[in-house]
Amino acid sequence: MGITEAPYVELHCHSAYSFLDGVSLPSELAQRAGELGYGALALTDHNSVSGSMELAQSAAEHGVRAIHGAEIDLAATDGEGPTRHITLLVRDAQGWRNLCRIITLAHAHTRESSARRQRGEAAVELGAVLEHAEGLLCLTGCAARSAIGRGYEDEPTARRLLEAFGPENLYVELQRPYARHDRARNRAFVELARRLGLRCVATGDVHAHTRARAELQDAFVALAHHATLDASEPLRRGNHSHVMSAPQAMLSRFADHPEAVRESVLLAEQLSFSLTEDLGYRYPGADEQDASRRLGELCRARLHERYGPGAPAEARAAEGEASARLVQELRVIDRLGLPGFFLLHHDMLELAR
Amino acid sequence: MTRTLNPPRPARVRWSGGRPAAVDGERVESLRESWLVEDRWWTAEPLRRRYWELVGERGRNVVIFHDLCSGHWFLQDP
Repeated sequence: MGITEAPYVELHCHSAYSFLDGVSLPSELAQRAGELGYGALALTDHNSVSGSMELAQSAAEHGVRAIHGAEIDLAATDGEGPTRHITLLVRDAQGWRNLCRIITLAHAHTRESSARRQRGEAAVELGAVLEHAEGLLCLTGCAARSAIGRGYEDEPTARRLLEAFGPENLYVELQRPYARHDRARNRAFVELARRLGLRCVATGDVHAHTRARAELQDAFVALAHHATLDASEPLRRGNHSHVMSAPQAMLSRFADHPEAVRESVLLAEQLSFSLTEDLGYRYPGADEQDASRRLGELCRARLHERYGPGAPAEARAAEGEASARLVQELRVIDRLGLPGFFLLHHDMLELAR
Repeated sequence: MTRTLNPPRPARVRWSGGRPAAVDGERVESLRESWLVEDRWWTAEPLRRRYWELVGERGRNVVIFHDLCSGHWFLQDP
């Protein structure tokens, strides 16, 4: 089934790379998405793209197009309260670079504790996200910890996001985890979207690919909080609606907001970035015109030392073979555009010597 | 001696059009919320309940749930 045929695309999905939260591997999610008839699936792990390449490679096998992104923790403005979430989706190569940069910033301060083994929680300042908005689409985050609160108490954050991402790249995210105040919250979100001139998009906040795995998610919550299943009741999701559902079932789940379900398909069609294509990464020095010549000279000088007239007889006998091998290897390095990388590596090793 | 607060009471629910239409003979005017509880699966008494918060024709808020394990309906104070 193609992307335009399924009535819904899942744009918010956690894999086991959301540690102690998601309970399915990216490949399991991709396979299940294919079975359920999804045309595309976005992976949005917490502050991480660790599962993205696995999704990219397995999704194609199951007729599903991989969309890449992450759910990012925004640091509390007072530095102490709980973090809040936004969902970022990659539109193009610039967006991928910016997402990776944001994730790096989110983890940059997680090892600053005096107890080295104690790791802080990853989080990034909203301002840093706004500076790296290019090439990214922003959804306002999950039901429980949305960046815009419950839709009425944090309009300033929504307006800052709007200023940076623009109305084309910012969506109010609607979720329906079958919790008690879903309908009231979604009504407030729709009203906020109307005030700001934004579109709403429905997402499922998937954490498991089948119901058989849902109980493990409850166990993970208990483990993450060092609590028993009995004691972690207030922290659990309360039901198993985080299991991946069929696109048609999601249409029923969001019966009050069919336009937000349709929007998931339209939004997904804009996201054509693929991790399986050449991303155009170049190592530092790759653009230097004489890098290839300098690497050749360096290698030939070393070869002369090891195999030349001053070397032991056994090495001298192998000089012809070694020279031929060097020519071949330099040709491969040139073809891959890597002379600059090898020169950089050489400089680093010399510095460390 | 322990006493359960707000204990569920058996209810008669008429179902129509994919939603509760009447509770104990009182017509349902509107649906405010609906939610799902699936928990305590590791115990001998697992919970699987679908809840609705409704407004009855007499203007009062009503919370009912369908016990998905037993199939019975219950009423609770909101």
